[in-house]
Amino acid sequence: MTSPKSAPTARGPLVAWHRRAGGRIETVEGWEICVSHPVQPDAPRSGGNLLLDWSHRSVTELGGPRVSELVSGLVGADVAVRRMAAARSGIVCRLTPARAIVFGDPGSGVLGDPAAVDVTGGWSTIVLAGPDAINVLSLLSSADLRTRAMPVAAVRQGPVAGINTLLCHFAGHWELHACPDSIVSLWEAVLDEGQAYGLQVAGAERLGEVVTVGGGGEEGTT
Amino acid sequence: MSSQEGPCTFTFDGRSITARPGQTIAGALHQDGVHVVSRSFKYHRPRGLFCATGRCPNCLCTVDGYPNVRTCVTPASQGMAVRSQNAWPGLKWDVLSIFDRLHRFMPVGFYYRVMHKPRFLWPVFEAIVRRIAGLGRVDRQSGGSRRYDRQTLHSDVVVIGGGWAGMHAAIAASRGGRDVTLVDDRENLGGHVLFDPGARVDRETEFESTVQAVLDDPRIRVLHRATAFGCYEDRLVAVQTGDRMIRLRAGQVVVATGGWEQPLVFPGNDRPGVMLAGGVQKMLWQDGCLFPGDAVVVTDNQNGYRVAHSLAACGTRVVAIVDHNATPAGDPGDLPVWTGQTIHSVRGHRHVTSAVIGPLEGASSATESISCRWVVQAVGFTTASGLLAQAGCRLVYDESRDLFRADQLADGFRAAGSVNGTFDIDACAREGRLAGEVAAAGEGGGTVDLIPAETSPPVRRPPDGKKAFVCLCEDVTDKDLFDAVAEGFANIETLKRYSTVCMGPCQGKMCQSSSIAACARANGVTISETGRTTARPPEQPVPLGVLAGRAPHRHLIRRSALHDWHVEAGAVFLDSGAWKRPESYGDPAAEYQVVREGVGLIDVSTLGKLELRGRDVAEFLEFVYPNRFAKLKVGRVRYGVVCDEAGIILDDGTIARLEEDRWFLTTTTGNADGVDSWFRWWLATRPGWDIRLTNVSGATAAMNLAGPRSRQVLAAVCDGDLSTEAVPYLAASQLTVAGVPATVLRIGFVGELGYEIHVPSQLAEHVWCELMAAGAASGIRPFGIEAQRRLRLDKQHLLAGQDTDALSNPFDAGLPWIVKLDKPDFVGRSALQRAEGREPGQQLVGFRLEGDRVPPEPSLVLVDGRLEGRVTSARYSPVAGATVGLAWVPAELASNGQQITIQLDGQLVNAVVQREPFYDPEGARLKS
Repeated sequence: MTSPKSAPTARGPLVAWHRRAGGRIETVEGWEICVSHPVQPDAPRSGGNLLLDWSHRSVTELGGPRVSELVSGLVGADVAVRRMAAARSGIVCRLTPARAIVFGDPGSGVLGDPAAVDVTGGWSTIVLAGPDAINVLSLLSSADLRTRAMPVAAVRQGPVAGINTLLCHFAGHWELHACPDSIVSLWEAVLDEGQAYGLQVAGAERLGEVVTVGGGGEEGTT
Repeated sequence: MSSQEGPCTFTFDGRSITARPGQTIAGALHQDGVHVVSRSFKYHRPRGLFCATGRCPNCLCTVDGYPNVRTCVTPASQGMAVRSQNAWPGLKWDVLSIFDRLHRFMPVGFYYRVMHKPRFLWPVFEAIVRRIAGLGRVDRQSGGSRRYDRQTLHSDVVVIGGGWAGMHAAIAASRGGRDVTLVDDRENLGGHVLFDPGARVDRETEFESTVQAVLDDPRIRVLHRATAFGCYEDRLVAVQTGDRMIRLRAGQVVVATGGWEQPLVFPGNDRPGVMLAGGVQKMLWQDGCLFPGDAVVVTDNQNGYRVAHSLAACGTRVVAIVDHNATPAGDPGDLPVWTGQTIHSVRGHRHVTSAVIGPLEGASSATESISCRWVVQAVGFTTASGLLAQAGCRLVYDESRDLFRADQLADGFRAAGSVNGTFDIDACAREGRLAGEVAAAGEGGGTVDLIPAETSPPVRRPPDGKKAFVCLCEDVTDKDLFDAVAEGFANIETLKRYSTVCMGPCQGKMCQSSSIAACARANGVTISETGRTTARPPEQPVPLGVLAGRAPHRHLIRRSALHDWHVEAGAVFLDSGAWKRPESYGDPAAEYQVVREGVGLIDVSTLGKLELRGRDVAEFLEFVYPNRFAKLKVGRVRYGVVCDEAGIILDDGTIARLEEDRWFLTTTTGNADGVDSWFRWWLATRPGWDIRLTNVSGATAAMNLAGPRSRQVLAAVCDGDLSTEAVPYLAASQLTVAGVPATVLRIGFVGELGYEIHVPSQLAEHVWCELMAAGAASGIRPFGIEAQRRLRLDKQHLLAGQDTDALSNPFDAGLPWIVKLDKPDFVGRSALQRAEGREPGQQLVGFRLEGDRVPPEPSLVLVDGRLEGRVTSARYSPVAGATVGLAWVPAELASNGQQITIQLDGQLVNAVVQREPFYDPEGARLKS
């Protein structure tokens, strides 16, 4: 065997899109990510509507009868079905009694468990933030997005722009998780419908304005 | 109303028209003296504004290339190009108005009976009819630029109608703690009260404060200029607003759609100058239009008196209020009243010149002609109850009010105001409040108490004369309906279909009551016995663009993790379901050759991939596959087909045992989700099984390195021993490829030494590029689907779904060895047991066709001229030196060497059945 010509670098499915759109691509912690885009949109707190790509993180699927036990170990308590909670450095979404998805690093204890399967790369994440996020989503999804029906920390799986999507409601933003093979279609659909609301793409350097990245989970889930 | 501040100018048939701020197109035309706006559908009679509230067909024009725009509710804007419709060469002089004189040759339903003979002339007639028929012309160039979209909204309570009752319902529901969506088709709330100053007397402050209360209420979302056009199951309300369709899902629905003003049927009732009172009021008070000259108001209620006073106040000389009642229904002031009279006909062609007035009943000889320019009708309303009917509410005829209203409401529905036949403004408010409270409590539905009206039902005089129009949209006269009934179309539903009454742009708003009355009269039965036609969406015509939505981006495209590499490499893509797959990189023949002689790499990431863990997986696989897996050793892979309970092949793929309790399965591209669901379905039947199923299709990318030199290429980037002893044919190995953990399956779909390499999809491009670099010296090149198809046909490897169909079982498909009937129960066992003992009808076999002509799929297999089979796949094979393929043929022709006949380009060609592979039949190359 000869050594690989280059060290393995992970690449999310939207990197090529970002590159075509003039985004600045950098390698961070083994992932190629789009750090910034030429146009800097307003922050959501200033009324701006942002669309961000957060595909560059670990994803783990927990399955089987021990899911509650594993989730409790991550979060400190069990998480109800169709709800999510902040874990040590990520989010745990409970889909069914026997199935949960962990976005972010689940820790070595969980990764070694036979009930956990590393599905990093199997889910890509779009972050939609801003005052009109719900209006944009209402053009793409038939789900009831009102706070009463889908409160903060709620999780729903269903079609968004015809694409099977895991939709998570945070206090200041929405996260749309979908299979990477469909994420470009979803991204373009959101962007297209968001035109009327001035939705603009932003690089990963703006993620911090919307979510708490790395450690301590994400805001708005507790 | 437009928000423009100054006047604007637009053109109507090329003529420049100036509109005041906020004026509608029709208002501006009227103000400019344009009183003929369109030509009628059948007879091309001149038509002027009639209802002026967006219901009737008379004001339909083409605006900026978009046909059938209701100009009476469309604000004028600067630069608009408005064109009249259904007239050639122009509105003033229309060639086809000759039909008005030829009406005796065009009776109701004439198109069903004429022009069919002589038969050879039908194409000529058809071309003429197609040119004449229809309303408006679609401007394809303009149509492409509009942006139609869809939105989904949810609301606890949806109130349809922003009139007096609707506003009170919305406020009451909001006070009940519900979020409310109020749908109103006008720019401003208020309904007909908005244009009726007389109805607001002593209530001006209350009216304004109510409107403001609705607008200021944060719980109430008001959709202005939004038309609810359909009610569907589970209280789904379809709403059109501009170019957007809103799917409004409601917890409770309050229908407060009010009523539609009804016209009288009398000869000449379609002449320009004949109008409905509501339209006149709207034009007076919203559009600021005047009605110069003399007017006759025909009425049987107070509304007629109010419009008469409005006209008089705006300078029109009201020469007569013709009241059906024996005593005046309202206060005429100093206006002349003719009681106990009605209108018998009007005279005039391009505009009314006089009205013929006479007794309500009895001979028409005692009539008097009154010179006038305007005839205004105010003879009551019918309920706008179409949405209620669509929702499943039961409508009954209320004889005391002469209208249909709901007496049994569908679950979650409530009606309020004029839609109930309640026209008193205070009663409407009360009903609205009650409906809002009931909706807030979630208690809509149930029976409605029908309290008879205190007044007697209106009396209408049957028209005498031929051109008394019931349906303005389709030019259907009272006589037409009588003729149709006489021809046997006596039922209201068949009468509607035969005569097309109620089937035009107004969808019965102007004509349903009159047509039911005419049908009842013609049959000599009551209106209640006659019934009404079925209400179906859309309640109001909706542009097809709105229904279709703008959904180019909703055409889901699925791309593999290597898609961008393929694009860079110049791949020609093939749509495989939603997937974009490289069909080739420009030269499929060369790609084929390189796999046979060197090494090629193909992206097979689209395969479905499932990971199963748990101690019961082997038992589960024994149950869902017809072949055996319990004894499959760790590190081995086996081919399998999934069958349903009928023994039909659903899918095929490979099953690898990576660890004792960890398995890795692949499915075909199109069936990944289907097999996932199928497995979960069976898993749910035995909750006790210790099995965890994870769909890793997205998380894992796959590529197939194939060809005699594939081992040396893989070895260059792989850490393990790849010798045949270490990694034999059908081995499943966990290796590190290009520094990336990979599952490597030694299988050979293309018939050569090959490795199917599965890696995390985020690292797929890295691994692919490393393999391409490592194989550069060996002449590696990527190959696409087309080369793969040729390669697999050499081996007679079938593609589930391509070569099999909904009737194919493993025995017929040439896979009898895969069915192990000596196993305990498994899915499809009984059916397969029966199939084994049965004489097969058709069998899937390979065939060889000399030459390079390739029959397209699915070419027919003929026996004695009869269709007896079909070709499922065929390609030219360089190694066979002939065209080879797979075909379903009769069982008696399925043995080696049999000759079959295939239809190719209209000719019959002979092919020979060959049951063994065309290439490497012993599999030596695969196992090398």
